[in-house]
Amino acid sequence: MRSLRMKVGALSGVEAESLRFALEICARGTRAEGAEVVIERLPARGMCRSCRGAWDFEIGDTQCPACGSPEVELHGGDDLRVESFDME
Amino acid sequence: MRVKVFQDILDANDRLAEMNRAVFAEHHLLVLNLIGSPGCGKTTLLEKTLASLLARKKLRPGAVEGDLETSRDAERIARCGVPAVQINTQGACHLDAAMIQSVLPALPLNELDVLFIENVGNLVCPADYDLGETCKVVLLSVTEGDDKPAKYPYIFRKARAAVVTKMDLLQHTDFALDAASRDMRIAKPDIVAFQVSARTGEGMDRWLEWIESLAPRK
Repeated sequence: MRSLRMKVGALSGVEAESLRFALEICARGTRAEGAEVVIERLPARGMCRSCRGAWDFEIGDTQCPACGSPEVELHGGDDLRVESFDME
Repeated sequence: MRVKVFQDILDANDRLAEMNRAVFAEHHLLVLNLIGSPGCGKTTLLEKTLASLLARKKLRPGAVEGDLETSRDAERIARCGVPAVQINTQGACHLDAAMIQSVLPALPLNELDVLFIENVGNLVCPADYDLGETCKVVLLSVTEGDDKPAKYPYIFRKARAAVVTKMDLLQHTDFALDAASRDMRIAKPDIVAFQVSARTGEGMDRWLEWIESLAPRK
């Protein structure tokens, strides 16, 4: 295996560097040893119910960055999945 | 050569959770997965809830106690006089569906209406693991601070209800109920919120009525 592609959501509770470290240790002695681990971080999206704006939500956000309204909703960001791997 | 996978890492757990869910449905069981930080009052709320449900005589409760190593919590729950089993996770920071599946034979499911699962004290990992429950309930004590929903929005989004506990201590803290409520609703606009003190009984009636309203009729 040359590389492994994963997607990790911003709210999933998974730390990309810890995941990469663990995968590299687990891969030792297997066909995945030495494979590049490519982790794409997927943002969560904040949606404002007042101004209808949307932005990449960061943990700790409590209001819309555009209009200041606290009437915001949170979508996505809970992904944790293997997308694909590349073989020789 | 690229091999496409698109597999969710938690698929294996989710499949077992669906099997648990089928068992719960077969027995017409309401199952609540209680999640909160260490020390937020999960076991105390559960003790009070079990005793109150027994006294109200509408539902027959049981409990599954998740704990890292000890059986202290299960002993507290067993003293309430309800069927209870202990899961020691041997250091794992959350319960998973396989652990629940393994203890179900030890419970008299036919004689229960509601099963409480007390998860390991943690606001992060338990959010990811479906156990087959009807819904997750997140607990937040006033002594932890009102910023928990903003710092851990994911667990609040995954929960149907949130219980603010230790309300008897509110006056001794700077916990702002309105800020906590606002941030819970950002994570989940239709979250059902309760404010209780298991020690004084404040807010318990509404919490118990909500549980009773969710239970399937047998």
